[in-house]
Amino acid sequence: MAQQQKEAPSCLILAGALNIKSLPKPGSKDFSAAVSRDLSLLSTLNKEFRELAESRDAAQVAEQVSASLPSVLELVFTRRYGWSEFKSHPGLRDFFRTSKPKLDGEADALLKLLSESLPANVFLDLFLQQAQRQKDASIRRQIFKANILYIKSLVRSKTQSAQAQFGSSILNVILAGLTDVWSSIRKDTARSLFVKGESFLDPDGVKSIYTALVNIVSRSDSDSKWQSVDGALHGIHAIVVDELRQQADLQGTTTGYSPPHYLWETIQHDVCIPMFGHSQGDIRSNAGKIFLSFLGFRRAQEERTGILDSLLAQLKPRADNMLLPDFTVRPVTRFLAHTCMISIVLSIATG
Amino acid sequence: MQQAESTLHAVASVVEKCDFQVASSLFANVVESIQPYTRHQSSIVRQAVADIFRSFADVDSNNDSTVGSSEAADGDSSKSSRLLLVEMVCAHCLIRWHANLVSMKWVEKESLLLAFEAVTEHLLSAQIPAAAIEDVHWPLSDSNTVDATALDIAQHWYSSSSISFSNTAPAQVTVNFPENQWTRVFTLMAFALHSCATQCADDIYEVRRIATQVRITWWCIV
Repeated sequence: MAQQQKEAPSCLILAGALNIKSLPKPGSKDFSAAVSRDLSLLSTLNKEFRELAESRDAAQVAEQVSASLPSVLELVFTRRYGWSEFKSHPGLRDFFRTSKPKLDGEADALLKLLSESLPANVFLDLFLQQAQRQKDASIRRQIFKANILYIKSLVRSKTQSAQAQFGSSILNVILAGLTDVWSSIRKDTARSLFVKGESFLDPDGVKSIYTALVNIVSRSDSDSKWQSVDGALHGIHAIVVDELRQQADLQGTTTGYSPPHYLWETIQHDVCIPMFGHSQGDIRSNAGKIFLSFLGFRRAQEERTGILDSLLAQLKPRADNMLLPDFTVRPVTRFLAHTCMISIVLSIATG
Repeated sequence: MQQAESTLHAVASVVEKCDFQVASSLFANVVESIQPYTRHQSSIVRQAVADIFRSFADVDSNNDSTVGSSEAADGDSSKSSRLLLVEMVCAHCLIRWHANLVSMKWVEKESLLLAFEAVTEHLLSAQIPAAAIEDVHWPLSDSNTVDATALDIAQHWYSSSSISFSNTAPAQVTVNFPENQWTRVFTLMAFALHSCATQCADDIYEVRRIATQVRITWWCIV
């Protein structure tokens, strides 16, 4: 208690939003000076934050530094990943050999300190805001990667289900990654859901994510951007592939395997078949991949006649599906030509 | 159009995953449903239709769990199961070709030629008995083709099978149903090749190209 009441030192991190200069440009006159300034700033922030974290609990720290946190995170990520495109620049060999490792060390240490000192839900939300604000694709990608790594470490470190405590924050991060405007981020996030048969999500978490993704897909013709639908399909495919892995693992065991009800009921008619007609080729291709994986379920093999029947039913030409435009368009054009002729005759007749 | 294209690809995927018995039981239903798409204006859709025929031809009967153990142990039996689907594809396409040739649009010709292409490519990778290759040209030799057309033969052979067609009653047929499956397939393909030869001078480039391609592949086989 006495420690908590100890006065915090007068410092940058408590002074509100920091004035972060833009990333120094290699080749500019003051590049070296700017890098030294950034290094010094990161070092100071590390020191100040460590002192603050030692004297306060996580909630108090979060409250006191909330104004400066977005700019601190921006500084950390831009300086850590912002020069990646200049790595082969001949004039920057010295910088990448001497100064950059120091900057990286300070940035990593500060990020670690923040992740350990702040409440998880605050840190997750902050991370997400930072990622979505970042315009540079490569930095944005690294923020999402760091975010997923943080979630994984969080899940590992908790004895009780991390999803029970931070479920909505974790769900928000994953959905934001899967529906990001950058395809590399969408693919990274989908890949990170299951790595070598292991996931940071428990079965309820997988179900929540799957349900949210199906909702995105089913809204695809109204308010979802095509990128969101594409990412949702990447996520769904990752889930289906993991279910197939579970099926293979349980092969020959007494318990057997059955695909989850929520997945089986929706995958064909709410995901694949509607997306077969999407205007974006990538989305149709993803839906095809999901369908192909879906056919790998033993239950799908048993029910293939029914599955095939539902596909063949989709091929029946109807007035609304326009699957055979050369048959349906011609009568319409004929009808329009006919109507046009009648109106011309009528307009001549009525003067 | 995209819906048709993707759905046809999905149908091909389902067929590919079927064993021989299921695939052969589904054949009639599938070809009836995809039939209108042989005249589709999109070449991608027509290619997807041909891919379904290719999937039927490529069904792997070796994974057939429903075949009896004595038959499954017999390699020849397994091969003939696989060949039966090739035969069904050949017969169906040949019947379609000859029954509608007069009124057929070029797009439908292209579709059927693509299916023949799929069959020849399948045969190219199959292990064909040398005797079957020696007899390959007999249906078109002078002594055998005088009384029967391809349509007559196909209708006569398959009048009681699941391969559906609608046309007038068969004319006098002199070629009896051969017991050897290779002979049947090669007879059908010989007629198909004869049709391809007539299409090598078609007005439409795509028809000429695929017809020539089928013939080239066939020469590689025989």
